[in-house]
Amino acid sequence: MTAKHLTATPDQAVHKRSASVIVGGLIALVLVGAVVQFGSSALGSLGVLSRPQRYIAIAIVDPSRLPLRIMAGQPARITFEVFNRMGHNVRQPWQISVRSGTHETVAARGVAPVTSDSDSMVSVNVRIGHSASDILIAAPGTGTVPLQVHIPATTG
Amino acid sequence: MKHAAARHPTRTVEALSRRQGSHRTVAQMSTALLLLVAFDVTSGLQHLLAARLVALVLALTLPGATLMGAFRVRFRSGFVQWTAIFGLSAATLMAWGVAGSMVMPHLGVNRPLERMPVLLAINFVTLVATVVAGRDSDPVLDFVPGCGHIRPKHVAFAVLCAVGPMAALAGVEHLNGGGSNIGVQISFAISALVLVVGAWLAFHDDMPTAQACLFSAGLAMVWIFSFRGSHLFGYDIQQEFQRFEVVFGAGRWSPPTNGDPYASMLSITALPAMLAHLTGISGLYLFKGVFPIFLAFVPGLVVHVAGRWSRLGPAYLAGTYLVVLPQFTGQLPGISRQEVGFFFFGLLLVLLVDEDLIGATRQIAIVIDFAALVVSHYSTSYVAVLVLTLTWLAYGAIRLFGVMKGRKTSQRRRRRRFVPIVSLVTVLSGIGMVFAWDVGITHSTSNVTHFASEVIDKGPDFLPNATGGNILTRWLNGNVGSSQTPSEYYTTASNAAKTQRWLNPYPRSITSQFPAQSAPQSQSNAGIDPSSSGTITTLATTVTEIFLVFVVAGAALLLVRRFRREAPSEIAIFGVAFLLFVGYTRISGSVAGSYNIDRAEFQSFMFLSIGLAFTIDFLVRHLRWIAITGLVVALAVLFATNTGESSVVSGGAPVSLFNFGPGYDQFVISDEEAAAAAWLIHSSGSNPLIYTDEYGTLRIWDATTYAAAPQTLLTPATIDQGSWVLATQYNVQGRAYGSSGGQVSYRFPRAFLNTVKDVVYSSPQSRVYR
Repeated sequence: MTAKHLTATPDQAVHKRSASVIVGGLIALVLVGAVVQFGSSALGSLGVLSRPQRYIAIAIVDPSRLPLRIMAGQPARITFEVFNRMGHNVRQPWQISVRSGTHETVAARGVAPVTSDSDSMVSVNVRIGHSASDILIAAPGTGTVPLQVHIPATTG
Repeated sequence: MKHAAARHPTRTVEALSRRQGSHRTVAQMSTALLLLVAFDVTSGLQHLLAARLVALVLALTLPGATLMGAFRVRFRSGFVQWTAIFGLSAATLMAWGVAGSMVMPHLGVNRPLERMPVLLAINFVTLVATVVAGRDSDPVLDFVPGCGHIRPKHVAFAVLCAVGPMAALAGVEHLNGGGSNIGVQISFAISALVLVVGAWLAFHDDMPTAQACLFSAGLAMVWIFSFRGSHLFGYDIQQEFQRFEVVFGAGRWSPPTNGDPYASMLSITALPAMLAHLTGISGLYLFKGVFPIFLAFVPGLVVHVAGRWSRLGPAYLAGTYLVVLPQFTGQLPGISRQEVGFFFFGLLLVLLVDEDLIGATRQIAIVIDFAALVVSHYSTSYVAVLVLTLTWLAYGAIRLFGVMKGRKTSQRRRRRRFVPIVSLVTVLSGIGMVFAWDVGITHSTSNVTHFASEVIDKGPDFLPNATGGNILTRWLNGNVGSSQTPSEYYTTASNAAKTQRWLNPYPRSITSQFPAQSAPQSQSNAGIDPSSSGTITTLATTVTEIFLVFVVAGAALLLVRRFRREAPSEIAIFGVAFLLFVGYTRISGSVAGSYNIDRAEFQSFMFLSIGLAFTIDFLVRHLRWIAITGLVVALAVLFATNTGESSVVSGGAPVSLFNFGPGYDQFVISDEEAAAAAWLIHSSGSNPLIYTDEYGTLRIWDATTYAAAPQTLLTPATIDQGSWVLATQYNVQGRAYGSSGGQVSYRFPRAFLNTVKDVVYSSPQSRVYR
């Protein structure tokens, strides 16, 4: 409850008990560390070690430089990235559509191979019609909403 | 040699004695040296988690243990001894953090906080302390508390105390992974059991074991919150972590050139940076796991302080009250700097009131602890300095008044050496260090200047929200932030945006098509009568206010000599100073703008627990089991409310138990959200104009070093045409949170953004608009 200045060395029995506390504590730490590091898969399967989220994301490359004008009837280059955070390699299907009012037409589609925990860039040319209002870039089956680029001005 | 010895027998005895002495010295130093070797080796084996953990524990105990040996200080309470060892180790590391960063670059060591310089510094300090202490005693085994004869009940108790925090980690990880909350519930049950066992031990005068119970239960409860989610949990902690990353990357701490208070605090910059370099443990886990250990020590220290003049049982219940306060689990796990600040403040209180730590040793210990407090957290140190100064002045005035009145002192009193709890040296060193650190070195006085300008502009601003209702309601709501409807929020946001002259909003013809709407309901804890929620909240508030009355009554009892027993009147003055402080924070809007009311209360209760213990002691003496039963029930209500367990009967979705609800929305950051925020900052160039809602900001701070505050007025009329917008998981689900004159939840303006902006990043749980 209170403090005191030591005036005598405690006996060996006290030393032994203090040493046992220190050694016991260090052994417990080593055991915990070893179990968590080398038993992570077992702990994971028991559900007591959460795992990173698994998902696919898509993004426009360099969105600051989206074109202010797209010439109708001319090919426009669309570049986007697919991010793979699934924990394994994927072959991710993609699809680019052009929307005119309520009508959507598929302008291009393909498959992007993406290795685990990396990203892959896709660059394609699509032709935009006169009445087009939006370009939609989708990664079907991933749960993402399509990227959506409004076409600001279409001139012939 | 033999002949020489035969000729000079006395010399032989001296030589033998010297040899035995040197053997004894080497033996006494061997434990410290072995542990130092273990520390050096494990620090180099960073690929092994076990080695990292051992290195961490030794870094936070070995320097302190040997220094305690060198100063020859040992507390009778093993708990306080361990706490002091832990604190002195942290203080030593912070001392190297500032001294090394200031001096070593001039000697050609540009990154003094990296592994090798810190390792050498710890080796040097430990060796010197070991040599100094080793003349007379073993600096580790004599000063590291062991235990009595180890019996099965001790082993069972140690297992019980260890199981709680371990169960908490397992349970919260299971919940984080999308599993049920059964593990967390079991952990809470173990914590409750440990608290009850601690109470039983306390009423049977087993102080260190009862303190260990509070530590175990407190740590388990705090870890459940701090380990929530795979990212940092909380608001301030995100900014703290950013400052840590800067210092960790630079390998040295520098005083901020812009007076940034966060960058000024060594507790969240240099200390974790050194620990991360030394042990290889990531900063994320240091902030989640190690800082709560500082906080978990606090209730045990409070029991020590309260138990100085009360029976141990009531003191333990006063300490338990701190553990079940809402801010203990609800706020402090997200404010690392204050976890460390409260730790050093608690240790300061122990050093001030501990009766046998006397003379220069006591004063040096107080100054060292005060220094650690000042560099750890500014507000905690301001309050400490303020209250200590008030106490010293008031008590000095009373004593002076007594002398002037010529009051006769008894012969016994005159002979007894007077040792004030708060000395002039303590007060002056506190003031001096606050000025030197906050003004002279780091120029981080924005908190004080903000408070001063608030007082000048508004005056004390008594009870800013006290309108309507009876006097009790006005008191309860008088200084608490209000809430708004979505429509009110849109209006106040629009008014606030009028001062943003740079804003280029969308035309009103477009924005007016998207009026404010209520947020869609989050998933809820189904099958519960919603009316019971209000009942539980009212019950918890009532219990809290009753305890506040107990605290005030205890302070009043301290003033009455008959009840005070041997406690000096200086303690009563100290208590009144804290009571005045906490009363002022409760009613002044100006203070509320500068220092969080709940945390100010917590700091005050750390000392006022003496008064609370007095009242509890009084009640227990007069009402016996009725009082004990009532107190246990009251504490159980607070425990259930603040851990979220009350949701079983009251509904709601506390973040400790569910993967949905407002708390989960706001503070649990997903990997997807962090990745979206990182992509946004990477792709948006220099000086981007970014919008997100109140808690989307946390995703940006968590994932990047972007330190500016994004725009959070996320309404159609207040979003700039050229801006970027980050949408979080709960935004994607339709909910948004704001704060502009009041808290609000409203429908995320997705339809508006889809109309006027491009979607340039998309993952299942997040989005970026441009």
